[in-house]
Amino acid sequence: MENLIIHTSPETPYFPRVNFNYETGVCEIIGESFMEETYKFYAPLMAWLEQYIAENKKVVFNIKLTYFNTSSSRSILDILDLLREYSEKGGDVEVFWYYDPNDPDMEDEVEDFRIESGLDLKLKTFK
Amino acid sequence: MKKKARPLPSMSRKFKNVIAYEGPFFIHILTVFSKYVKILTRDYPDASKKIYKIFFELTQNITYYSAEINEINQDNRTGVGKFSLDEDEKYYYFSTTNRVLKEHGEILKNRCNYINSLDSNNLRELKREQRILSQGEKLGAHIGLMQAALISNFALKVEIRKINREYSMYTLMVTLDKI
Repeated sequence: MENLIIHTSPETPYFPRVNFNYETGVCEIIGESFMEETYKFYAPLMAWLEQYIAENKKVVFNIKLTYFNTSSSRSILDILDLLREYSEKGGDVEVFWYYDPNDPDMEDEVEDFRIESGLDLKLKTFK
Repeated sequence: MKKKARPLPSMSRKFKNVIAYEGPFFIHILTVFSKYVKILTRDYPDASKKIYKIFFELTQNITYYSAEINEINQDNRTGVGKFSLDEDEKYYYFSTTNRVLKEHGEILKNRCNYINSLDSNNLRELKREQRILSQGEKLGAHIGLMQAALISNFALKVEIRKINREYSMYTLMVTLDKI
């Protein structure tokens, strides 16, 4: 299984950078996410994760998004649901949500995801 | 508790326009304007972050749902409308306007009124419920209006103006504290 890497570019600033590492199990989504037809972008990420967790490996999922639209938030919830299901089956999962402490709304947003997904999302501030 | 909405910018001479646009809402155009929105509001960092988020929620609603369509080819079509960011001493006012089917105007107005009737906790709960229930496919999560109301912490202001027997113009305005 190969790493999943998606680079962002000035022409497509609405796609976040993605780095899912098969060897380490560290999976990161970084930047901003406000593309149209969000599911088309997130479907390969879900597929990669489904294949990866089928091998019963540890997942460290880092969400480092400074902005995401509500359409992206639905796809992010799908990822969190998948990770929760894996965790409930005994999978080793840690999810870290990085946020800007000066963003007046992000903590509430993460709290909502915590309630919806049932996952223990660990908050970390951007350095 | 949400605060009451302020009047629409067109109703007062005290408002000053910060930036406005009318035309097709292609994502590349919105991306360029979003950068200017950030720059033009940077004196008020909290408000600036909120406007940036609301900007995409409301403009992308026009992208998806406007009844007026701009079509370059089959794969490249988008909604047409306008947005305006205005300000006075204390507040920013972000508004979007687009054409809607007459019957959709009433639905949108009722939806906004319902959102305005809820306090923040109940609105967050509704947003969570809707997000889980939404299909999450082509048209997103259907929680953009709720998100805009939560971020602004003011009531949404809606104006429906009849154009003809079939269509209305739908204006939605969100108010934000500068500080």
